[in-house]
Amino acid sequence: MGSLPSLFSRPMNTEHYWMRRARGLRRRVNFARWFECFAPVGFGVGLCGTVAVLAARGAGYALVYPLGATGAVALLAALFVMRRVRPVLENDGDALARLDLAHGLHNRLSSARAGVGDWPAPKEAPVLRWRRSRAADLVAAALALLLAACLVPAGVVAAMKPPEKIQPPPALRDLLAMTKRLREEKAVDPAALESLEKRAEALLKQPESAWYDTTTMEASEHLRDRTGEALRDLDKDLAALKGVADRVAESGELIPEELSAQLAKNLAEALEGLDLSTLPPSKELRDKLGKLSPAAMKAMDKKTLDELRRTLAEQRRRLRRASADAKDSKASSRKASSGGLPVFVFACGPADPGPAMLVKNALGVTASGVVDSGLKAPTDAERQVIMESLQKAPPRLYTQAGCKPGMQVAGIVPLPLPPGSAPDADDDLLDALEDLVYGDAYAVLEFEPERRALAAALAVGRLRLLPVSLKDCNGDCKSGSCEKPGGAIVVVMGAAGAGGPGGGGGPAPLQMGDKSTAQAGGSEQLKAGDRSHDTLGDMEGLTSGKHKVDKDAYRGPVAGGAISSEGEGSESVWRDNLTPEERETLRQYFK
Amino acid sequence: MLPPNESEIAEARARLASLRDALANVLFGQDELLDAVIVGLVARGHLLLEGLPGLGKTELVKGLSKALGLDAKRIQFTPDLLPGDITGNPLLQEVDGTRRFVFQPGPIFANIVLADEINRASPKTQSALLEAMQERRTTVMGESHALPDPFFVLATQNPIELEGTYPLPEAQLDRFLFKLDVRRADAPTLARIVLNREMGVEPKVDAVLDADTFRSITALARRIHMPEVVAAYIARIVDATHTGDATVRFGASPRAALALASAAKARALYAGRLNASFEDVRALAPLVLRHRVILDYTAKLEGLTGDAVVAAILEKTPAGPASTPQSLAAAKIG
Repeated sequence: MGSLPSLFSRPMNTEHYWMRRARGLRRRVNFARWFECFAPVGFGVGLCGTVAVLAARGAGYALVYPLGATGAVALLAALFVMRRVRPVLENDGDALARLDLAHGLHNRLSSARAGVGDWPAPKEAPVLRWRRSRAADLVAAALALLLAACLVPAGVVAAMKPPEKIQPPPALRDLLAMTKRLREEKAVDPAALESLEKRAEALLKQPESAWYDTTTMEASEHLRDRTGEALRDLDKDLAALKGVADRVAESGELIPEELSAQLAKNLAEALEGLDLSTLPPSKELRDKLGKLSPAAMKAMDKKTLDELRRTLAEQRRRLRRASADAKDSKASSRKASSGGLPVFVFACGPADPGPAMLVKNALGVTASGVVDSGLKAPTDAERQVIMESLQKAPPRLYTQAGCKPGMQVAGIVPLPLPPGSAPDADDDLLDALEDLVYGDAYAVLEFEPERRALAAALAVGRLRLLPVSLKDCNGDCKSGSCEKPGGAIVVVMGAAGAGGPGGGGGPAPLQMGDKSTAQAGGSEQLKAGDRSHDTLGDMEGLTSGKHKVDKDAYRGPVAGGAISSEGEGSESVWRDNLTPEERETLRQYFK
Repeated sequence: MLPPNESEIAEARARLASLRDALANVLFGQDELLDAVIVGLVARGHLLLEGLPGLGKTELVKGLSKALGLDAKRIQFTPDLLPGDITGNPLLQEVDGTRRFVFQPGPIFANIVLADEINRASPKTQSALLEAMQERRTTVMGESHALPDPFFVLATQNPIELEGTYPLPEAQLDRFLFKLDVRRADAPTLARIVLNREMGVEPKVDAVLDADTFRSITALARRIHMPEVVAAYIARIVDATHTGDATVRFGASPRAALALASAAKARALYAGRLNASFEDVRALAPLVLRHRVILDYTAKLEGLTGDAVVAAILEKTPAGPASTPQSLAAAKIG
């Protein structure tokens, strides 16, 4: 009885054994078949994935996205290939046939599975083994490419964005914005504005590639600057007119003859300015203003005069609103140029009415409180350096500034500059200073933002003095109005300019230093400096070295140690008695 | 149809082995030929023996008939041989005072018919064998006559003589299960023949089987199991004979597939196995297909033979599943 289990168990065990081997063999063969079909597709997917990974790395995306997409595509491709190869996949019967062949069983396994005969005894030898194939090479290559794409150093490149539309130059944009505001505000004569717009459109109609040519940029900036200047002149003329109206209104019927003459003069100048302006006010306003005179104003009733004053004030407000863009652009350039450095204004003239009023008069500013005497005054060292520089200034400068020998230097007043940076700065004052700063005499100093560096900068003789003609003005100096003409000198200290498109307005930003500091792994020191406003006597620099003298130069024939001729530079060393052939031979030898 | 059991197989194998031993005393040194002849007979197939004269073809047939205890007749095919000379003729006889045609059976009415030099008869005469070989009966003057069972045709033809011969038509060739090459024996075998034979004296062969036993063996061969994978292999081989190129005009017919399957079963029985195998098919495919592949004349001019075509087909048609992936290689089994 003890042998029964073995009798029954053997066929069951051998069947289980052979079927298990058949299933394993079937899986292996089917996987190999699928793998070989998938390999070319997988290689293609790997290539695409490699490109995607490189592109993603270049664009700065995380690797998980291209790798995830590649994996998803590979999975879909694997399923697709599985569907394609399903008809040719083998079953257990095929696997048994393989085992039959491999073990020489004469299809006993196939027959036993069909119920014919017994299952043969187990045989452990493997039937098929893996080997390197083209499919494996393809898949390995695809994986290697993907791995390399993930690991090779690759910088982030800018994402492929469509090129942005080219914008017109900033100056042209400012100009267009300004004309648009002027038309909206109806601040100037439409005909003059139309002329200005045509000029701007002419620039705009150029090919986009020519917008940033030097000529176009210069033309744009010139047109913008001139337009700004015209607007500011118009504003000044309107301000003068309003000043006259104010004085008339303040004085009532008791206008002194002298003041009346002055007002008439101011009125004539303002009206002349309006007539000559390239951007005059509207024709109605011009006609209305053209009939004005101090006498006519005086004859006006208070209501009419007040209306005139409101009209002028309103016109000025319109102008200011319209030219806000231009002022902003100027202010930004001022900020960039001055670099937040202090600007001092001082004047020479009579002690009375005082330096502050002199400066106010010099700048043509009538608004009170513009010059804030409470600002931080220069230090004693700075004051001393400035005064010494003034005394050393060329007489021409003194003359131009209206300073005369014996005239008292009024003082040094710090202005709330850099222009545009002080919240309380008045636009009038800033505009006036702007004319000074951005005029031809604009000077730039190498200057550190620290106050203590001012003295050092001045000490090396780099103080720049700008003469400013005092405007003629009348009035009671004691009461705040200047009666006498005077002069002023504006000391402008700013950082190096960035240079304009035409090369003007500032120096080239970078120059090599006096002494090279270049070393391996180091950097060359650069400095910025503007030499455009050097005056005579300024030292450009010193160079140490020796002249290159040829000590071995021929000094003439020598007989018995005596020197008959020392010769001179560039003299020929060849003897005249040499034949041309000898001469050519020597020339070739010493070549 | 129930598959045979082990004991039946063993008994049949023993009897066939005794038959082989008996034939081996007749034909020396032709073991493969004897095996093929026995397998062909077990498969109930007709055999075409091709070989030079004097190699023992007739002796083989005679010895076979004696060993099997079957009736054997020999027909010498000549160009003037008529179909009636093979199948038999109706003769006018007077019986009981009346005259009528009485069929006189020809030499084909035997269990084993030796059609000697069959290609010397005219196609008309050759065609007299068609019905007999396929349907195992003959029809004379509208009257069918069944042939004895078993019925085998063992035909011979001389491959070197072309003048005055009529090549067998394809339909005739297709009815032969095997085409066997009878090769000359080597020197030791010739020495053995010289020592054991006398000119003009037929060797003595004992009957090892009777007709009934042989019929039971052939019936047993039909019950041999044919696995599906082996059947598929046969189908792939036969299908591959239709190469589609210029070398082969016509491939083997479905009858060839049936013949190959029957032969494989007979060989399995001869080897004492319950089922046919890939090995059986590979061993018998040349014998079954070599005369069924009709070559193009250009291929014949280039010396291509049916054997070469079949060998190439077997080479490129692996046994078992269609193919093995390139990533897998057959492991060496010690």
